[in-house]
Amino acid sequence: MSKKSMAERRQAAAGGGPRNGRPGPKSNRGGAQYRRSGKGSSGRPWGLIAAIGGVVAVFLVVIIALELTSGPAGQDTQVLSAPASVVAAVTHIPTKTLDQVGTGAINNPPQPIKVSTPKLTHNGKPEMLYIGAEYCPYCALLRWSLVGALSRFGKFSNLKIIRGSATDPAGQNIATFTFAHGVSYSSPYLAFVTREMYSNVPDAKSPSGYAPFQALSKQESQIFGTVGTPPGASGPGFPFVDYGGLSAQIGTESSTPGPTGLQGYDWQQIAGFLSKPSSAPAKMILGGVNYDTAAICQLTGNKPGAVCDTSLVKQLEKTT
Amino acid sequence: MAPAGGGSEQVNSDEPTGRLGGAGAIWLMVLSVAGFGVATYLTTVHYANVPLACSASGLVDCSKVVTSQYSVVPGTNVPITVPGMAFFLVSLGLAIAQYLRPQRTDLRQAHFGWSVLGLLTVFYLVYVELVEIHHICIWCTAVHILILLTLFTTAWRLHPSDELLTSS
Repeated sequence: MSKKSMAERRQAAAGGGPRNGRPGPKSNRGGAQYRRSGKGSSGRPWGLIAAIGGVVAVFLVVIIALELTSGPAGQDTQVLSAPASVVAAVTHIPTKTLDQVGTGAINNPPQPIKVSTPKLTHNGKPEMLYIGAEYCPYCALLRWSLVGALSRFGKFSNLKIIRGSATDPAGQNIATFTFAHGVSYSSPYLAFVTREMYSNVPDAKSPSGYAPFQALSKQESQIFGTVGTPPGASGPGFPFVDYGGLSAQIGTESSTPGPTGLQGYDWQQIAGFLSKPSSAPAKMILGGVNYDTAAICQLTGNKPGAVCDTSLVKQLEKTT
Repeated sequence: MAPAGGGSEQVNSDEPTGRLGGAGAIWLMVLSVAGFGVATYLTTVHYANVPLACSASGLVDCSKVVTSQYSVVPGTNVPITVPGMAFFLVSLGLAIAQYLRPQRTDLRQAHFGWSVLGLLTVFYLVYVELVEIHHICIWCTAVHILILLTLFTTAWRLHPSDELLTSS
């Protein structure tokens, strides 16, 4: 008799014979044997399989219902003129403070574009293209850096303030600027073109959950799709900045701590951090100003010299 | 005693089982290998310092999911995909064992139990994706489907149609 566990012998014995009462064929090799049960396969746990399917279906229904009913709540959709004190703080950052921060908390700076893309121009000037969304918390953080950096090359007019998404786990109600709603920028060195693809107004019918806002041109869509997809992602993401086809910013510049580092503060408080170089918000925003300045200097041919000829900018230009 | 003639339904337990049992175990191996591959890819994406960005396409946003606070085992810095890799390795081991020992119903039961554990984890992860993060990751969804298929297959194989007799 072959060696066999007691459990298996018991099981085999409990299995019984074929339904016609006659024993089935057996092998003589001494190993365990199989015998087909009387009339084809039977005993499949259809009830169990149906129960599993039912549990999964109920779970999906419940989860989808929770998702659909837990839409954005308490979203601040106001668009207000930026207070003069906030504008002054972010558009006139002392070079000494920027040098103290250096690279700050930036762990994802602009990178050289390695694929062939059009070198954007606008009205005869090299173009810096920004694509974002008003609800997006990562965009909310980046806009502070962009306003600070671009102010070194030109002037913003009619700056407006908004709050980002009230529910995004990446950062809620982040106090920030918007580049839409009549905001303009002028510079002798470059053109700054902005597209806020979605607003911060909840819209359940929109794939992002927020109302579509400014559409991309065909060329902008092509660039966004080609250059703006982070590794491991299934499509482009914002914030996205194309520095004249030379380098690009994809996603947030800082994830340490990222937008949550600005959570809970208003615009005046964040502006106040800009004079405190050791603070976490300053390290994120001013570190970004430095890297963005370096990327813009590459675009403008290192003009103006007062901004681009510093040792910090020259050092950072090597990496962007 | 001479072996029975043609048309016999005899199977030697030392050999891989007949068509039905072998195919099921092989299918489980395929699911396990595929799941291990996807979980490994997600683990590398987690460590690759993927830029954090908001997806322009809305609901599907892999980078947001794999870099969220829920992408690590609670209380640790270990990516949640690492236990996923372990899940599929164990599943593969159980599938191979069932292929080699098709008469062992305890292996089938163990694999079913392991798959139920996987389903409970899938429930948690899907809840987090949709209700907390409000985004899904296509690759994570692929892993969830593979676990679900493993569960259905192991449930199907709980009661094999062949019966085991002791040798005389």
